[in-house]
Amino acid sequence: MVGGTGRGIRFSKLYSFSCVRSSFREDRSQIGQKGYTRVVHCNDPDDPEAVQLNYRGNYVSTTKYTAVNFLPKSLFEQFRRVANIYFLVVACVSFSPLAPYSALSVLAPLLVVIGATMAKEAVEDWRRRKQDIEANNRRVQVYRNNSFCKAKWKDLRVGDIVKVDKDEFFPADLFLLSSSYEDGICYVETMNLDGETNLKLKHALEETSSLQDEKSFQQFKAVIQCEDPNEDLYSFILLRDSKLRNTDYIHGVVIFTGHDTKVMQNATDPPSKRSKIERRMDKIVYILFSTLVLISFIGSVFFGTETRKDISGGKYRRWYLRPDDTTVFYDPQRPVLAAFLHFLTGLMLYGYLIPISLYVSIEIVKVLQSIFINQDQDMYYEETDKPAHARTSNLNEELGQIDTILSDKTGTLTCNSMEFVKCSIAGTAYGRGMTEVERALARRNDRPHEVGDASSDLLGDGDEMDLGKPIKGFNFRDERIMHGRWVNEPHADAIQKFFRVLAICHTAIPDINEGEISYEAESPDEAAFVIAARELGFEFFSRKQTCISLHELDHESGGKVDRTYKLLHVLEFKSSRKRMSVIVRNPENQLLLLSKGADSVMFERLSKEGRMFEAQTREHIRNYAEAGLRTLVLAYRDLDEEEYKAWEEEFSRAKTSVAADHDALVDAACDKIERDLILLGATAVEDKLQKGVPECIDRLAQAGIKIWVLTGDKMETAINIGYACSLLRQGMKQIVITLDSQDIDVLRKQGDKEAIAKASCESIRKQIREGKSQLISAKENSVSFALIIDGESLSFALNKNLEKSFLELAIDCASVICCRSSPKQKALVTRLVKMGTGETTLAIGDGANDVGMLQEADIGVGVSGVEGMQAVMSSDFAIAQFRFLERLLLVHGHWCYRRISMMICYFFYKNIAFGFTLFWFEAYASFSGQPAYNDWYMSFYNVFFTSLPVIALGVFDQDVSARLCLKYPLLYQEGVQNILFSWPRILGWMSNGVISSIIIFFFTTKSIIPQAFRRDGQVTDFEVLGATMYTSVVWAVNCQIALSINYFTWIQHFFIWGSIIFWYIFLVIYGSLSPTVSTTAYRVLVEACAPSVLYWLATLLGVISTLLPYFSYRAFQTRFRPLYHDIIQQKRSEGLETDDTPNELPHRVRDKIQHLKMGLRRS
Amino acid sequence: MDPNGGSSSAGAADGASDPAAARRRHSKKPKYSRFTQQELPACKPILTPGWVISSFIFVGIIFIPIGLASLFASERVVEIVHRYDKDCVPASYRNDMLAYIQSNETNKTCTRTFLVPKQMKSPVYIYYQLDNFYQNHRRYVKSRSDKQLRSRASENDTSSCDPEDVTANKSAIVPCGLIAWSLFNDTYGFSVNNTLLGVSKKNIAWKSDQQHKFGSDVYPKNFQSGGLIGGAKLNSSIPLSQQVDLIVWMRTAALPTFRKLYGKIEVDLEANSELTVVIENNYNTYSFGGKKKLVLSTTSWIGGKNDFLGIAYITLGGLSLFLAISFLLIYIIKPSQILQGYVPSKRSMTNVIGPGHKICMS
Repeated sequence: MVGGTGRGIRFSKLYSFSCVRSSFREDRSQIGQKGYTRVVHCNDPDDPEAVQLNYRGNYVSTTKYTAVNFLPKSLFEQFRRVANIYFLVVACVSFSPLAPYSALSVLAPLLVVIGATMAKEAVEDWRRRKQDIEANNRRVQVYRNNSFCKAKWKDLRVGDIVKVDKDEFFPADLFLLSSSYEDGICYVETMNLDGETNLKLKHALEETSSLQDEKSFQQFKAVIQCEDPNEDLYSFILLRDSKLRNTDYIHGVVIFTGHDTKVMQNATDPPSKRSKIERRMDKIVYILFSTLVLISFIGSVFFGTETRKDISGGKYRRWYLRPDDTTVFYDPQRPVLAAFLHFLTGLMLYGYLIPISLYVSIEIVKVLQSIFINQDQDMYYEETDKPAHARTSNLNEELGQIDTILSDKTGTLTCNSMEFVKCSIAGTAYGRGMTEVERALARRNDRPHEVGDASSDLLGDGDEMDLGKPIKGFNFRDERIMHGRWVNEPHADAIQKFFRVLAICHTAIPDINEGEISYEAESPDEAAFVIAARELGFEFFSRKQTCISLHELDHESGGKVDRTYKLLHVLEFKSSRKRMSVIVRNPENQLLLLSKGADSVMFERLSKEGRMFEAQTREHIRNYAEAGLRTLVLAYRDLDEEEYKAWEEEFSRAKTSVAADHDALVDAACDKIERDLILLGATAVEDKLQKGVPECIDRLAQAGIKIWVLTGDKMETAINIGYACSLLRQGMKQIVITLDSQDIDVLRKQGDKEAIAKASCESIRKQIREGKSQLISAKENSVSFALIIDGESLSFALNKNLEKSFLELAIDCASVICCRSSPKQKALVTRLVKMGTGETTLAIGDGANDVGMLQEADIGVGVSGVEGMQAVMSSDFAIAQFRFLERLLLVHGHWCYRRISMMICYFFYKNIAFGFTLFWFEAYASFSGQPAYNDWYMSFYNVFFTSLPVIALGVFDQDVSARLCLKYPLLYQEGVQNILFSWPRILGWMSNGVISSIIIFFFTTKSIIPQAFRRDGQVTDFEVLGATMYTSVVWAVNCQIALSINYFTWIQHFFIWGSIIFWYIFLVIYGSLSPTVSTTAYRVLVEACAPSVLYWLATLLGVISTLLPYFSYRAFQTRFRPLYHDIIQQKRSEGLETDDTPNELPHRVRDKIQHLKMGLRRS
Repeated sequence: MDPNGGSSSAGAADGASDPAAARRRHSKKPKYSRFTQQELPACKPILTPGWVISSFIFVGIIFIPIGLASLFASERVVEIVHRYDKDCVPASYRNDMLAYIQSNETNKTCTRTFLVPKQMKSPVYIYYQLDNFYQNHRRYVKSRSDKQLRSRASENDTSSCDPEDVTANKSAIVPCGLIAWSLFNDTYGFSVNNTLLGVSKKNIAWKSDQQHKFGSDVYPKNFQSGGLIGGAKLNSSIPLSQQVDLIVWMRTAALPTFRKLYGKIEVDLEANSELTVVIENNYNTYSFGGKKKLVLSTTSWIGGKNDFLGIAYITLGGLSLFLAISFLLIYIIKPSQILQGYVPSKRSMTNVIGPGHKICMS
C-alpha cells in the first residue's frame, strides 16, 4: 500500500519535483508507449495541449439505447429471433396477392407483440437513464478561478482539481494530492465497485500533501503521464463511485472521466444463459416449422393437381373459376408454378401453428415469477435486510431442474463471521468450549446426551464468568489466561508475544466511537484476531502511517500502559504467499518481524531453535482442523540492524520497480526476510455454520439433488464440516483420493517434478479405479458413498485422460467434497459436471473466488454475505442465506418449472388445435388457401382470446402449496427428470391439439351442414361456419386450460371465462361495424347464429367432445399412474394434508409415506 | 463494547445513532399480501373418483336427452331430395352431357314427378343442392366487390373482381366478379295434383344483406353482356337489394356440397299428393361432375333434417355413462393403485437416500 501511488507517473514540469527518486527515472521506459499515453494537465484543463487531447467528459450514460437509435436497435434485437423474422416476412409478403388474408390483420398482432417487448425494453432503459441523470447531476467542489465552487459531475474535465468531503463519492477517477491528514493518507470504501466493505488506505505523494488551501493551488501546475483507461481495478487512483471514509476531505486531480473510469470499464453485462426448457422449446418450434412446411407442401400438391385439371383438352372443368382468364396463382397451364406460389401462401396461412405471442408471453410470465421470488417473505433475511433477488428472469424454471449443487463453503455454508475460539501457545492448548463440528462428531459417536442445538452457542462451556453481552468475533473461554491471568502461566513471555503479534501484525484500522473501539479489517479472520488481542489486554487503538499504538497490560505491574510500535514495513497477505508479516521497532528500539501464516508455509520457515514447540503445535493444529476450525501459525524473529538495512534497500528497489515482474521481485524480497522465525503458537478460528444449513442440505438431498462442496479448507476440516452440515452421514462410505502417500513424499523430497507428476497421475488413476470397484461391489446393499478429493489430486483428476473416469466415480457418489481447491478448479469442476453429465448444475457461493464457478454453472446463486458483492454481481439469483436455497429450489423452482412447462405445452396445444382446423377446412376448399375464419378472428386469437389464461397459468398455477412442496422434497424430482416437459408429454399435447381440431371441424360441419340450421330455413354459409367453429375453438382451448389448472383463484376464473365472454362481445361489436369493415362477420352473431339452437348445440357438442379424451386420460392417469404431485394432491383432498396449518403428521400417514418411499427406493 | 466491533459492516461506520431503527424505517422486507406471497384463496380441483364419476354421469344425463330431442326434431322434419342432373338430360345426350348443357339449341325443360311421403306443413322450403362446387375457392370468394354492391357511387370499384371486372370496352360490370357471374340459373315450377303452386321468394335472403350489403340504388349493368356467359342474367331494372336469388348466391357456401334457398311454398303439402316440378335445367355442373338436387324440406326448432347431431349427442352421452360405470367398477375392484405411480430413476434415488440416512418427511 505504501507504494500505492506508484507506477508510471512522471512529474516533469512540477517545480517542486527536483528530487524525484532515481528509480522512477530508470523505469520510465513504458511511458508514452502503447497503453501508457495518457497525459493529464493538472489544474489546467484549458491548456491548449490539454484541449487538443480531447479526452471524454465526465458524462456517463449506461443506457442501452439512445433516443435516436432506440427504434432501429431494439427492432434489430427483436428480429434476431427466428420466429419473429418469420412473422416479419409473413407481414411483408401479406401485402402481395399471395396472402390468404389482409395485411393489416397480420401486422396488428406482430405490432402488438413487438411493441410490448419494445415497451419493456424502453421502460428498463428509462430507469437506467434516470439513474444516469441522477449521477451526472450530483455536485462536487471544483477548483475554478482560484476558488472551489460547486459543479455538476458531468461538467468535470480531465485535469480539474476537486475537493471531496467525508462520506462523499468520488466523481471520477482521481489522483490523490492531499488530504485532511498531514501525511496525505485517506481511507476509501469500494463497496460500489467490488462490494468489499473494508477500508483501503491510499497515500498522496509527500510532495503534494502540503497543498491544503485554495491559495496553494493557484501556483500548482503539473503534468501526469500514466496508463490508458483499462479495466485493471487495483491501481493507483481513487476510483469513481467509491466513497471517502474516515477522512474529512481530500484534494485530487481528475485523471479518468466518464466512460474511461475504472468502474465503467469494468461494467459488463452478466453472461446470458438460456434454460434447457427454452432450448427444447426451440426444438419444438422447429418441429412445428417442419409441420408447417409439410402441410403446406401437401396442400400445394393437391392444389396443383386440382388446378391442372381445370383445363383439359380445351374444356374448362371448374368453369366458374374462369381457368381460361386467370392469374399466375391459379393458372392451369403452369400448375407447378401455381403450386409453388400456393406453397408460400400455405406457409402464411398455417402460420398459426407457430405461436407468435409465445416468446413475449413467456417473458412476461418470467418477469412476474421473479417478482414473486423477490417478494417472498420467507426468503427475506432480517439481519442484513436483504430479500431474495432474481437478477435474471431467464432461468426461473431451471431452478426446478437442478441435479447437482456445487457449493462453496466459507460464507456460503458458514456465516463467515469468524470467532476466535482456541489457541495454542508455546505448546499449550487454550480455549474451552465445543465447536459445532465437535458436537456433530459427538452425535456421530452416538452420544446423544451431549447433543445440543446445533445453532446455539456458549452452552455448557464451563465458563462461570459473566461477560454481559457476547462479543462478536470472540468466543474464547479460558480462565487460565483471561483477565490478565496469563502472567501466571509458565510461558507468559510467549503468551505476551503471541498476543502482540495478533495486535500488531494486521492491516485493520481502529474506529473509536464514544470510547469504544471497533475495527475495520480486510477479512473477518483478521478482525477476530485484533478483537481477541483486545479482550486479552492488548488493545490496539491507533494506527498512523508509521506507527501502531496499543494499550497493553503490563507484565509486572499489572496496570495498563500505552506502547507505540514504529511500523516500518508491511509485507502484505497474498493467497500465493499465504502469510503476512510486519516489521516494527518496539519502544525498546528492537527490530522485530512479526508473522502469521498458514501452517504449510510457516513451519518450513522456522529456525532451528524456533521449533521448540513444533510437535505439540502441529498436534494441536491437527485437532483444531478436525474440529472444523481455521488455523494460522504465529511466529516472530528479532532482526539486527545491518541485515534489515541491506534488506530494506533491496525491498524498496523491488517495490518501486515498474517492470513486469514487479510482483515476483517483491515476493522474492519478502521471502528473504521471512526466515528463521521462532514459533509462538497457533490460532483457531471458528467459522460457524449458518442457521438451518444441515436441515436444508438434508432436505435437498431428500429431493434427490446431489451436493458437491468445493472448499479451500484442509481435508480434515472439510470432512468435519461435511458431517456438521449433514452432507456426510453415518453409514456412508468414504472414498478419499489424496496424494499424501509415502512414495510421493519421497519423490517430492527428490524434487523431480516430472517424476512426481507421473507418479501422482498413476496414483490418482489407481485410486479412482479402486473407488469404482468399491462402488460396484456395494451396489447390492445400496450403501451410499461420499467422495473426498483434495486440490492437488483434483488437478490431476481433471486432466483430459482422467476426467471421464473421475466424473463417473463422482456422479455415483451422493456427496462429493473437493478440498483445497482453487477458484479455477472450482470453475473447472463445475464445467466438468455440466458437460459430463448433461444435467443442470447450480453453483452457490459468496466470494470473488466463486465468480468463475457461478458463471460456469447453469445457474449461479450468490449469497450476499460478508465478503462483498462480487459473487452476487455475477450471479443469476442472490439470496442472503444458504437455507433459502431450499425454498428457492423446492418451492419456486418447482413451481416455475411446472408453470413454464405446462404453459409451453398448452401454448402449442392451443395453436395446433386452431391451426389444424384451418387445414381441414382447406381440404374441403380444394386447398385454395382460403382461411375458414374472418381475418380479424384469426389475428386476435393469440392476442386476446387465448393469451391471458395461459399467462395466468404461467404466473399463478400451483400443483401443491409451498408447505407441501417442502414437506415432500421428492416432488422436486419431477423437474430433475423433466417429467412435465418430456417428449412424450409434449407430443401428447400436440396430438391432443390435432385431435381437438379434428373433432371440432368434423363435428361442427357434420352437424350444421348442409341442412337448414334455423327454423326459418336458412342454411349455414361460409360466415356461419367460421363463427361456429371459432366459437368451439375458443371454448375448447379455454376449457382445456381450466381442466389443466390446479389452482383457481379469482384471477384464473376472470381470465378464462372473461376470454370466452370477450369473444362474444367482440363478435357483437365487430359485427355491428359497417359491412365494409366487418365483411363476413357482419351481424353474424346477432342475426344469424344466436337465434339458432343448432349453433349453441354444436358448440356444446364440440367443446365437450374435445375435452373428453383429455379428461378421461387424466382421470385414468391420476388414479392408476399417478405422478408424485397427484399423490400429494390426493392426500390433501382426502384431508390427510392441509395446506395451511403446519402440524405433525398423523402416525398412520407417516407409515404410509415411509412405505411409499421404500417402494420407490426398491423400484 | 460495540457489538459490531471488528465487523466490516457498513453500519458500524455510518455512525448512525440507532442503526436498528434506521433499518426498520428503510426495510427492504417484502410487504405481505396474499397476492405476493402466492397465498390467494383458491379452489384446487383435483380428479377424485367421485368427481370423475359424477362428471361423466352428469355429461351422460345432459347429453342423452339433448340427443333424443334433436333426433326427434330431426325425424319430424319431412325432406324430399331429388337428384335431377342426370335424369333431365335426354337419353341421346347422356354420353356428352356437357354438349347438351352448353348448347343453345337444346330444350332444357324437364318435368319430374314424385310423391310427397308425409304431410309437409307450410312453409315448405325449396333448396337447390350443388355438389363438388367450390364456392369456397379462394379465387372465387375474393372475386367480388362489396363496395360496388353496396352503393352506386362505387360502381367502378371493381379492382377485386378480376376477371369479371370490366367489359371489353372497359366499362364496369355490375355486379362484378366471378360469384355473380356464375349465378345459378336453374328454375323450378311446382304443381300439386295439377294445380300450380306459388313459390314465394320472400325472406329467403338475410335481412342484413338486403338492407346493408346490397344497395337499393345499384342496378345491374353490363352483366353477362359479352364474352363468356356464366350463369343467370339479371333484370337490369330491379335494384340489387331486390335480387334475392343473387343475394342468396353471393353468400358463399362453406363446403363444396351446399344447399341454397330457392324459395318457399306457403301451403301444406298433403301426404301422397303428387308433386310435379318443371325444371329449367340450365346450370352447368356437368363439366366438373357436380350433382344437382332439388330439396323440399320443412323445418323444426333445430332446423332441417340431420340426424348427426342427435346421434352424436346420444353416443357421447352413452360413452360418458359407460366410462362412469367402468371407472366405478374399477374403483370397486381395485380400490387403490397409488403405489404404482412415479418411478424415479434408479441412479438418483439409491444414491441420495442411502439406508443409513433417516428419512424424515416432516
